[in-house]
Amino acid sequence: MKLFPKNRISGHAKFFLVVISFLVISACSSTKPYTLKPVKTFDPDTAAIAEPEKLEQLQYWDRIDNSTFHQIEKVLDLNQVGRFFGTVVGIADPLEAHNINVLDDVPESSWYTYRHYHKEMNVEELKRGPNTEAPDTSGKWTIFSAKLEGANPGFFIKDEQGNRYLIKFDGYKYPELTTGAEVIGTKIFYAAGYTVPEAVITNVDPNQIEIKDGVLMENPDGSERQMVRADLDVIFDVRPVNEQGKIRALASKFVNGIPKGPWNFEGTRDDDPNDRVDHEHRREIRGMRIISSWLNDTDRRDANTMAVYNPDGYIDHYVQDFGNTLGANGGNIHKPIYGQAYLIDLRYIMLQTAALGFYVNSWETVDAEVPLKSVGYFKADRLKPEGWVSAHPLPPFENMTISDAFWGAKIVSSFSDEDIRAIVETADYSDQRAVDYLTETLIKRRDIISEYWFTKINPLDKFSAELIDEHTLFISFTDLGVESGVYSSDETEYEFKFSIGEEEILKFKYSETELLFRSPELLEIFKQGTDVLKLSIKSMRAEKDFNKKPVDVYITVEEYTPRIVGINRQE
Amino acid sequence: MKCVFSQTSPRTNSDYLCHMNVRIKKTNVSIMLRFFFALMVMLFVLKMNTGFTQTTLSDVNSDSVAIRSVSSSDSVYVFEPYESKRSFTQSVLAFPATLFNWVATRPAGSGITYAEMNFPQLFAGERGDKGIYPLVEFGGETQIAYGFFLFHRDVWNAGHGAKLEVIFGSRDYNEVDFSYKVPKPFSLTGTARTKISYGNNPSIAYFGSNQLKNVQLKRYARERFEIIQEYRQKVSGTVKAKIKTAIRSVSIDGSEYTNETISVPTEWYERVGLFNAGTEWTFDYYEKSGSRVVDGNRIITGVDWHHSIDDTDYHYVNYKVELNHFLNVPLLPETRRIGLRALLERAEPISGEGVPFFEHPYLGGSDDLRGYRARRLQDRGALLLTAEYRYPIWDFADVTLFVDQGQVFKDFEDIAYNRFRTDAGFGFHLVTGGGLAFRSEFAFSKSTSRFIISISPTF
Repeated sequence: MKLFPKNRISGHAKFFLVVISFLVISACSSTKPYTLKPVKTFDPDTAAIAEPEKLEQLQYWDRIDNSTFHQIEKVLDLNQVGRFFGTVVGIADPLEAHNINVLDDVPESSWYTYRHYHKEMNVEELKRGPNTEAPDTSGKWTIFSAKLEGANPGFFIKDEQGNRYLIKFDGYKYPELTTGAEVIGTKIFYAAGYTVPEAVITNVDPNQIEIKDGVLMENPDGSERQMVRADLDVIFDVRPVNEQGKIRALASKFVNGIPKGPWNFEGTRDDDPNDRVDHEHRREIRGMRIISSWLNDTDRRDANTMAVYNPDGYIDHYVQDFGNTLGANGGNIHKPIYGQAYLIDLRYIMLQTAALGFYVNSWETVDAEVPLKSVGYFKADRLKPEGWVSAHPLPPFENMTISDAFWGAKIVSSFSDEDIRAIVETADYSDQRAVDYLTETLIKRRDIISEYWFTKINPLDKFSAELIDEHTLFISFTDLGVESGVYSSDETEYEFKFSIGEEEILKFKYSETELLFRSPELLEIFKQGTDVLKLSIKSMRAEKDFNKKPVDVYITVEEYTPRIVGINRQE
Repeated sequence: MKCVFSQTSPRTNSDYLCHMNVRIKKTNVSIMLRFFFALMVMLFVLKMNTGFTQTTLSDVNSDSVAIRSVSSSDSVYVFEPYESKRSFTQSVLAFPATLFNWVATRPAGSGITYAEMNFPQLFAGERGDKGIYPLVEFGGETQIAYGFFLFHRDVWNAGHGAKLEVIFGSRDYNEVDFSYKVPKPFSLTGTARTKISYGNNPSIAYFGSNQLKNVQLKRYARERFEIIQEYRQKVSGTVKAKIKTAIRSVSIDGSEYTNETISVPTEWYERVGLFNAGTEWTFDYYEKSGSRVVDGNRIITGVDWHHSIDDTDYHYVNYKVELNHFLNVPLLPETRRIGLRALLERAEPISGEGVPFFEHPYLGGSDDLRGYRARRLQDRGALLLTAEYRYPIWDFADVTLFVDQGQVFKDFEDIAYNRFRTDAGFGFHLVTGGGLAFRSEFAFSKSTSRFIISISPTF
């Protein structure tokens, strides 16, 4: 049979077929699943650079782009289309993130810092979060800039210590709602490893505020004028005061460095030589989707990020603005649709059009129940982890693979019930029922997320190896599925298989997460300096769905020091 | 190289591309074109690839490089930074997306970014207190007409509103409408409005019948000038009233844009001066879900009295009754609703010459019998029935499926079931907080099919 039967395919078509085939084949590549070099736990993107330009913070283009133009480009990008169909038929894997080390983890960088999951934080550290210093409320606050229009009015102040803060208020209809969500969201994202600005609840004394000369306000007709006291009274008069006559607000301390506008969820920054990994292919951004789903952080987008040129001369990448998390949507409450569909969702629009109105979206039949004004609309029973979306499409969220999701889920599951309650309590709610409700809902949502994602991949992690003696290797790991309560240890057993190269040397079943590997020639295995011991662990569970694929762990011993040099999970 | 042309050659002239001193065969050109295309693609892709490459650390002063490293005994290990790399293959496969990005996404991004930075009120959905917008009108004999819309919603800072609409199509086609609104005049609680309007249309269609076949299309030219004074008042939570007086001058002449049609009879040419007084009452029992009407009734009834104020002898009255009713589709959310509309209009002569032909009620156009051209059916009375199913496809958009049935009649005895003209269609409605913002509909009838764009609802 001829490859190109005569006269069946035109010459032009043959030419392009050959070119395309060559191109596709040449794109294939493979890498080893382990390394004998040091494991990359730090991505060196902190070299000093020339001060970059400040980018404008825009509110609309990124939403329009991600909802329309980006969707068209996805269809036109044959890489994505080919990979999509390849994964559907099972001949291709999803495109994994570009910054994963051999331990299937994200190295630290200007984007991410190992915190609660990697280095457990105690309750005090969780409660403190990124905060260093609250504003000094004993003296005068001087306003030096203001933005009083819009749903979240605020102004910038300098206290008597010389520290500068952004002060923001709750919407007058829902006291404590937005400020509470900001504090909780900030501390959870901080503990998760992201760089966030400080956020602390404070109480504003209207009598202690002065307005500096030259602070300008915009009139309705666009002209500017000096800000006056009456402009502040518009805010203060409609907000509740506490027993001391003060008004609750959120104080966010100025960051250490020069803000340079937002960072985008797609591409890289042209004037930052350290920015080499496309943001839509960074695992810590992709996996952020899981943390955002936990908090119902639906307004995650370019405008809610900040690139800061720090004193060391490189850019820190901040995630900010958590006033649209939990039950809050700016100064108002979330609607049932948030988290379930995009604000303009072509999938559902087309479905509704074709169904002639007979398809009823789940959020159409639900009223936004608000148990407490300070809590807003925040529920656990409607969370579908696989289907959660932000208000607008985001490229990294769209690119999230199961491995990225597992990475995010393990961070979410690392927060214990006590951790969550401790963080929620820092929001200073006046009603204890708000603390209880939010804590309970966050716990339920955490469990839903763990239950879903830990069934999609073998949830074994935190591998360690220790040399007991020259013949005995002690290996331990954590079953995140059991630790989070998705599975019970009584119903779980593991199948261990040790291999060197292609040769299997030992296989057995065991129900513990700690084991000893003994061999008279243990150290001989590693003498060549090129061999690694491969341990494949399959989980076997008598309940629920679970992933039957093994996790392959690669161990080497150098100078009597064992280390984990590779982890490979199969989805 | 030479391109050779030879009549004795077994090949035809078309096998050679030029008649100079170069011989280049078509088949050779085909190969060259393919090679040239592949080369251009590669060069483009390489250029794009280069564009993706970031300035390397070596470009930066090495003294300022800070790379975390791992030391192991005497050696220091320096990590290589992660980097997104796109292979040549991937660049080629991404070429269509890259091209779209350059020709569409980036220009759109620049435009929208510029607009957001310089005209932020556009994105806030605000029109501002005053402004000017362009107007474009398509269709009709003039094909296209241009104009502008000027408005001010707070004249004298007293809450007065002024609007000026001007359309120019040609010397013979233009419209100017000016209106001025005064809220709560003379301590009343309603709104007074004065409107001055001038229009010149060289070609208005007149069928004057309920028939679809064997009817001669006639055309006429109309020039009108009108001053209207009206007062609107909310009588109660559900009742609104309007009273108006108007003076009009209408001039009817033959149309020059007849093409295959004819002009109206010359005896119809005239200039008429009319005085009009009228009132309209709206009884609104609608129930809404957001800005959508989902249930309830609305009744609109109005009567206008007309009398000549020149040497013509017209004396007649126009009246109309309209009933709108919405009901929910059972078992579905209330936003799935069926709207029913019944409209009766009649022009009744009182004395003298009765009703001018151009004042007869008509059906056909964007707001009633949508599958028929404007004024397709016209006579002394008109009856319209509409059923429309509306359902949301998103919170700001509805899809509609509709059926219109209508007939015109001379006398009430002429109304008959078999005289109804029918059209059907579907459409898309853009819904905002204030109600319908925009609708586009396709309507089909035995006569024709039409595409409608309008900013006013049918009902």
